[in-house]
Amino acid sequence: MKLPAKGVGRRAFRLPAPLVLLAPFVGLFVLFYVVPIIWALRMSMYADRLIGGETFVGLDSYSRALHDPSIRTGLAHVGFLGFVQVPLTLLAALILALVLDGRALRARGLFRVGIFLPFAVPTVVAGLMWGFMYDDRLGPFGRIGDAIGVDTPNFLARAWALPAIGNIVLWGTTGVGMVIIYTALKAIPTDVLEAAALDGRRPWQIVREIKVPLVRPVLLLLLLLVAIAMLQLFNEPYILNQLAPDAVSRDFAPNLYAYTLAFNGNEISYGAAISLVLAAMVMIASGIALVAARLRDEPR
Amino acid sequence: MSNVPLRTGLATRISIENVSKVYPDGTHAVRDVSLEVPEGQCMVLVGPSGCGKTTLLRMIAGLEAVTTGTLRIGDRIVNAVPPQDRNIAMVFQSYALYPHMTVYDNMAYALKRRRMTKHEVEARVRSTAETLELSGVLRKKPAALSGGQRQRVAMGRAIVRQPAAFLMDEPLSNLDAKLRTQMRAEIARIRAELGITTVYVTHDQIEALTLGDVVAVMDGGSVQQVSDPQSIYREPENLFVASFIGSPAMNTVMATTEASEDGMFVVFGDHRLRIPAGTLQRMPQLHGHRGSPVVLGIRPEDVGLLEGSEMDRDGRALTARLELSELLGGVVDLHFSIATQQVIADPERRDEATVADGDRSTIAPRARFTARIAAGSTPRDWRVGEPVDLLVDTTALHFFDPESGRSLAAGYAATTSSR
Amino acid sequence: MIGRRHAVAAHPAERAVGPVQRGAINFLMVCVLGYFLLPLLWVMFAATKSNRDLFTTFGLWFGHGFELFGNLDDLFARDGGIFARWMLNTAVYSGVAALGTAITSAMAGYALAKYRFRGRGLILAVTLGAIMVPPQTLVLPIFFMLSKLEATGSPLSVIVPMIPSPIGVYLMKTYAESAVPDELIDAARVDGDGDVRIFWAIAFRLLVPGVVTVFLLTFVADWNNFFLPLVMLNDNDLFTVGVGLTNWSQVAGAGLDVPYSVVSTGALVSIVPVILVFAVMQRSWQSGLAAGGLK
Repeated sequence: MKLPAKGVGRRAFRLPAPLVLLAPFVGLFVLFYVVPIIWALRMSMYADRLIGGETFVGLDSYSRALHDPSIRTGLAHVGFLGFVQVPLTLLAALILALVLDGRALRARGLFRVGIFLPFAVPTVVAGLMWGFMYDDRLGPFGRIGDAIGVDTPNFLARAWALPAIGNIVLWGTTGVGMVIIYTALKAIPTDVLEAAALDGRRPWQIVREIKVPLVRPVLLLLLLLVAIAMLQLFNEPYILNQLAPDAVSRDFAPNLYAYTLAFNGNEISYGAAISLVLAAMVMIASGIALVAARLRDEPR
Repeated sequence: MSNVPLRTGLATRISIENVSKVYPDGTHAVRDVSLEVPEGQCMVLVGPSGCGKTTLLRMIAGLEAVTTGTLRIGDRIVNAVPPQDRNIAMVFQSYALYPHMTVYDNMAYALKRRRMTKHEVEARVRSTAETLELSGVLRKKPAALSGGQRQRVAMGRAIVRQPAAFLMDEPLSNLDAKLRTQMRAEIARIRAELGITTVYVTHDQIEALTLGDVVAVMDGGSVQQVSDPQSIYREPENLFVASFIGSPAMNTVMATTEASEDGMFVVFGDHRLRIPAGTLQRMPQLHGHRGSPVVLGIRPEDVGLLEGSEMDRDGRALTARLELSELLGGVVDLHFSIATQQVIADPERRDEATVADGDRSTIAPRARFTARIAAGSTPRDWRVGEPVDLLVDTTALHFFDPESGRSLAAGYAATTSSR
Repeated sequence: MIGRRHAVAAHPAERAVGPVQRGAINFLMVCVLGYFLLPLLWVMFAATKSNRDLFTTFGLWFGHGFELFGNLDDLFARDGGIFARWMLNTAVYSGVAALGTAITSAMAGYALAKYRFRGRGLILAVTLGAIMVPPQTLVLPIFFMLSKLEATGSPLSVIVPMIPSPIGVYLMKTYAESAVPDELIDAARVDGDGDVRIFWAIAFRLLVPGVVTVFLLTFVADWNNFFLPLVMLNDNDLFTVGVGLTNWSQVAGAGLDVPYSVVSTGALVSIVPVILVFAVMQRSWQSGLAAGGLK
């Protein structure tokens, strides 16, 4: 069954080492990636009734999910974040990476570290800090607004809920994106850029015609990855809901909704159904992203 | 075969006046170099790695700043002019093709600035592509091309621009030997047709001698000698140039001179050669060196076989024991060992001997002596250890001052080391 | 000397960007940096204020008096020192899980890198695909599964699910391919060593830098993990810092027991360890992240 490692001829039978080495990871992977999906699937099809114990309800939960307005608003929220917020975030990351890569900036290391620092902060704590800062009593924005004569809005109002969360995502994600794009920029051979300069192109033309096209694969991949991550958003809406329940409701994002159903509403099977649908959406999207990435890597 | 773009008629000269490059950490990459590249000519900068030739080229391109000195293209001082505005095209060692663009776009890219119509661009690109036999790959991207094709695209990109000058940074060194020879001829041909001023950097002295109208040998940031290829070869001004140019390298050994009623002789190991009168006239310093050590240089090509019947009248013969023979097709390299000190001036060969303190030349206790002779139509068996009678062309003897390395040919006398 | 007048100190290519443009870019970047440091600055100032000052004084400057140490006392004394407990818990959960991840990923990555066997392609494809699945997607399904098995509520229910890491395996595979020469393995085989022993005795040593990188990256990710501990743990004593702080913030918001000053000080303290580790390990961090990101 097992072929010998490359470079070595046929061997006498030994305990299959690769199996031994792979077992822990594969075992845990199956246990915590595969089984839960199957389990949740089963759970979503049974409701725990007070009378009669478990009953098979089949696809009831799923049809309920289809018509549930909370799901629709939840998906709209994460959809907005995924399709609008994330591209903006990555655009910001691209611009910052280009500035970092260019010649104009001084003290490059300082900016690199500083902008990357938010990555070290857990999203929950980031949500907490921003949540406090959004609060008119605690945060600096009110005072700053007064000083420059601008009426600062109440960021913890419902109308501001989505941008407020979007801002936290922007804050936490830009630095990482910047570093990844910057690394890709640095991978461009210097003499290609020198050749462009000798060909008479100005710095911003070189950015547009050489640098950006060459990092496009990385950009697209990042876009897909982060957008997919938005689908299962939980931490930020959760903490903002704690701080400002009027602004951010418990069904603000689908994942939060599922959690609320399971833990506060005792509707386990419905919660399981939603989390499963969400997982399915994430996996399909990931699959598409993977195929797209593979296709791009094929030699033309 | 080709619609080669005509000479622009704007051949420009390049003037390098007392140019130096010092890096922030104190490294002197280029020391006070002055060179003049005449209109339409090709100047080759040749030397071992680290000699400063590439740095100098990049300064001409504007990719490195000039620390001191003046750089002119045409009559314009360009020290402060960015590379975009110098109207120079460069062929990089790694070709530096734009990976995401087709061959066509690679070549058309530089023409964007000119605001030419699409038709004009197409005409130019296609005709250049035809010259370089790239017409079939115009739609392909660099990754899909062979090394030779990529090199030609790099050339095409430069040619299409019809710039004031070409700069080439070792464009052939990434090619295999056969392709290199082919492309060398191509480059020579294109140069002849276009007549654009060129500065060409290489570490390969064959490229230097074949492609250059003027050759500048560099070492340690300074120019060792600037001449036409023939003079570089025949009349090297110092030991470095003599050893660097020529393959196999010139035999350089420690020797002394002797004067007797018969005339002047140079003695090394067990051998004695007469210095012809003509040589003595060219190198009057030799008289001054009587009795004291001198460095003798003999090119392997200037040593031949002594046919049995020739009489040893002119003191041109020497006999040595054969250590190794190498048959290279039409020629045979015979290697001997001679009981005198060998002087090694080429830094790339320094490892062959023990290093003397601080000196650029190193000494090896026994000298390797090479003779290159025609293989001849009758094959001969060379046996290791057999004594071989050789005849030296003594009119081609080279002499160098052992302290300064300078040639003793008239006009180049120096007692102090000035390298 | 004539030449000096024309010599240029700055790089000629740099002159293509004018000084005005450069000034503007630098200024804007400073503003951008300010944005990214804003919450961190705020929380530092907040930790020095009394609860009342938090509400009355300007967010980006000190209050009347310097209450940092008072706040820290309150923070660590509250509820019998529960905050320190939470920090310890988080450290333990993250540390143990990260260690598990590092080792299992090294083993799996090595096996995928150095062996060819039936099913290798499948495992690789599934692993690669799983990288794109954010961990939060599976938290609820995992919870449902474990709760049915009545296995929730313990530290292990938090630690073990965090161990399998597809990206860790992918990173280690890439690393093992170049870090462990095939010849070394062959030589050891010829000497009669069993393959598993070869891994532990020889290959693992060469994999250590990659293992360390994976450990550090995973440690940070695990430290920052919120959803999993939230869902799995009920006992206050077992909470992680994130979960504990969030609870406190809810209490504070309701105007009850916990003052805001404690919560903000807690927030500051909770991020200090990671920022410290992060600042020190900055280089290997960014390159490890980038290597994974670039695939």
